[in-house]
Amino acid sequence: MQRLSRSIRAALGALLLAGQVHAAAEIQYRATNLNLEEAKKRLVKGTPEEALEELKIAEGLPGNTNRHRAEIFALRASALLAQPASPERKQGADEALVALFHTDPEGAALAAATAAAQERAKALKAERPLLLHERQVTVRSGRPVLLRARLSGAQPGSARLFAHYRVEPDAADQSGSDEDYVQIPLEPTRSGAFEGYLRPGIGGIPAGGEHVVRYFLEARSPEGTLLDANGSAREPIRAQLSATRAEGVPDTALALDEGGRAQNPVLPPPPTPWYRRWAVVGPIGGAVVVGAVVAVILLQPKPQPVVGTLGRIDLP
Amino acid sequence: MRALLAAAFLLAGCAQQDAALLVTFSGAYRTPTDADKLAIQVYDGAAQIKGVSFPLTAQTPLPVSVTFVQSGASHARVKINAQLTLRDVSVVGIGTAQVDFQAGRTVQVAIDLIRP
Repeated sequence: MQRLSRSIRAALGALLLAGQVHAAAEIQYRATNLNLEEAKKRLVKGTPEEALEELKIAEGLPGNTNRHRAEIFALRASALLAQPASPERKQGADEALVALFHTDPEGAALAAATAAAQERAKALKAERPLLLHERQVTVRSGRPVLLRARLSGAQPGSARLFAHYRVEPDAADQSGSDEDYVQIPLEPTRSGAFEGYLRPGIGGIPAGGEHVVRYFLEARSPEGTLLDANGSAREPIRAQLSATRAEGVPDTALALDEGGRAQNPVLPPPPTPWYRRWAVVGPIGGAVVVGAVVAVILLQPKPQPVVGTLGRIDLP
Repeated sequence: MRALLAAAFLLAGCAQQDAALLVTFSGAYRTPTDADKLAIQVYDGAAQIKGVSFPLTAQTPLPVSVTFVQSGASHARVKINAQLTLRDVSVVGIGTAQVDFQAGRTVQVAIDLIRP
């Protein structure tokens, strides 16, 4: 029954953006993720295995916001650490927490995590370099896009940061080669952060309109060793370049599995052509029927009188 | 639609035949030995509107009948004169009748031919 429930939620979720993401130039976000909510309940109930199952489905649903993703990572780490300790689980929890910091650099989603996960997150942040970046969601097209990041646990001047980006083609399959990514360096600032701009009309950034830009960040040592990456060519960060949407805030909508309606509703039937309208067909049909009845009456043969033995004479 | 069809059938049943007269001529004559021709004149008032004659043979013994149909102008009352002749020389029998047409019906009339 639970598996069936999960499957139904997942199927409905899959339907969400199948109908909504019909063009690469528009990102749709869900308001809530029911599988994520269910995972929270399972974790509180003390069934981390079931919580992990729910999280796997929750992560696969389309339209997750950064907040959803961060909570998924926090709960995954919590569920893994809630089970008997093993090197694989510890590694899995560490990867989830790193992903959490990549998605949520302030670690706000850790509030949903268990105490063990919070403690491990704190230690992890201190012991390894983390490329922290407030991911862009919606930015105004036609203006420079500021990419800002910082590297935790690293000495100033000991790392170089790069941004890789490309604009999604306006096709439903969002295809394109990863080699199409453009790389730009992020410049260090006095505050210790790094900044770079994507400027409209330069380096493939559109001058305006609705587009989706994919990007990821890399931190490398002066020798070129990869220290950390926030996003990747395979799993890039996607941001909406929009001339109309509010900046910074994702537009969320109720997904189908939340009782929402498909963005593209069923098209209304085309209007009835004039020659099929009752106002036209009725009178014409009536006239035809009446004419047929009159014709039947007029054309029916008259009864003939009995003819005598010598024949019939018509009088003038 | 059903009402229209019903009306059509009802009206179809109301179609009337033309008014007609089925006139039977009888008499004690052997054909063609006693009489070999029957001449008939139809009058509407003083005007003759039709005149016809029929040869009488052994295959057409008396009584014989003729149907007059009012297929043209309306004739309220007509007068029918009939004559039996032999070899176009002598009139051997006569008869007459006045009769009214009735709309949609065939009125049966009997004219007995007698020697003049």
